Amino acid sequence: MYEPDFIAALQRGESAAYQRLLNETQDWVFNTVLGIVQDATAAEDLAQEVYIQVFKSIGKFRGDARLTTWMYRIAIQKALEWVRKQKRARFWSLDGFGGNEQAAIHFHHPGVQAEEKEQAAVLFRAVKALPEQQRIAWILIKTEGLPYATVAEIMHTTVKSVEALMHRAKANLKKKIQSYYK
Amino acid sequence: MEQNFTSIEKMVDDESPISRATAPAFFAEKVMRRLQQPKETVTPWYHWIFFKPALVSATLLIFFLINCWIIKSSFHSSSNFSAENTSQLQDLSVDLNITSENNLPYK
Repeated sequence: MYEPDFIAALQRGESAAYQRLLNETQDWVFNTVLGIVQDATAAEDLAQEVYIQVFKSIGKFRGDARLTTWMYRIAIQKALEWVRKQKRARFWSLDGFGGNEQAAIHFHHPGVQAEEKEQAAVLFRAVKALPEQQRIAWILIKTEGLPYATVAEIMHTTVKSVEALMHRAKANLKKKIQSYYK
Repeated sequence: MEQNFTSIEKMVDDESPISRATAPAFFAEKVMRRLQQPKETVTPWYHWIFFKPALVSATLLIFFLINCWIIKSSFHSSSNFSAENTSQLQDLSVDLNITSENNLPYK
């Protein structure tokens, strides 16, 4: 939880405040974006854009939500925009006929331990195929380790809805993984 | 195969987080550098709506005016017969015996 003085310093454009925010939040911003886009290079660019957006619009931040919640929303929005753009580009290119499917399975999350890498790659491929809301809930809870209440706040929904989303996400993932191993 | 499936299923069911990636090296420095770069000049939205059509209209207007000038100058030169030229033409028609009557192809 950031104190109002710190937010005021950010709004004044103080370099030290920017640096502190970056140091304290860069890992989870990158991790969230990476979980959604599943491409390390794109995730780095997008995470940088998240901060550019945060610093550009910090003046408009009214403090209705926590600063971190607001930043999570920006990160998710940027990542989803990128995924949608990729989907559109794939639709219009010849790669859409299965070309990128091979690339998706080779995504190795840098946070996963070596012995679990292969299984995690299969799991992340299945996550990529989940509907948007289920995917966001799953990534925030499973890769970020956020509590359900925080996820509900980020997603502008209730804890019950997040629980339902997670339940459906798990069922869908199991189905997809089962079909992969069959 | 079966073992892999079971371990992934466990990953799905397990409540604890599965992974946490850290930001790449020099990430904060890169962001700070990007922030210090001069702001890109963004073309305002009204630029393309107002400026472009104005440019096209102005070009068309210039072409139109040039055409008008060419047509006007050609008219001016054709109507510039002096009385002397007219009488010379009349003499020529008399010499050639050209009248409006015998000039008709059919009677």
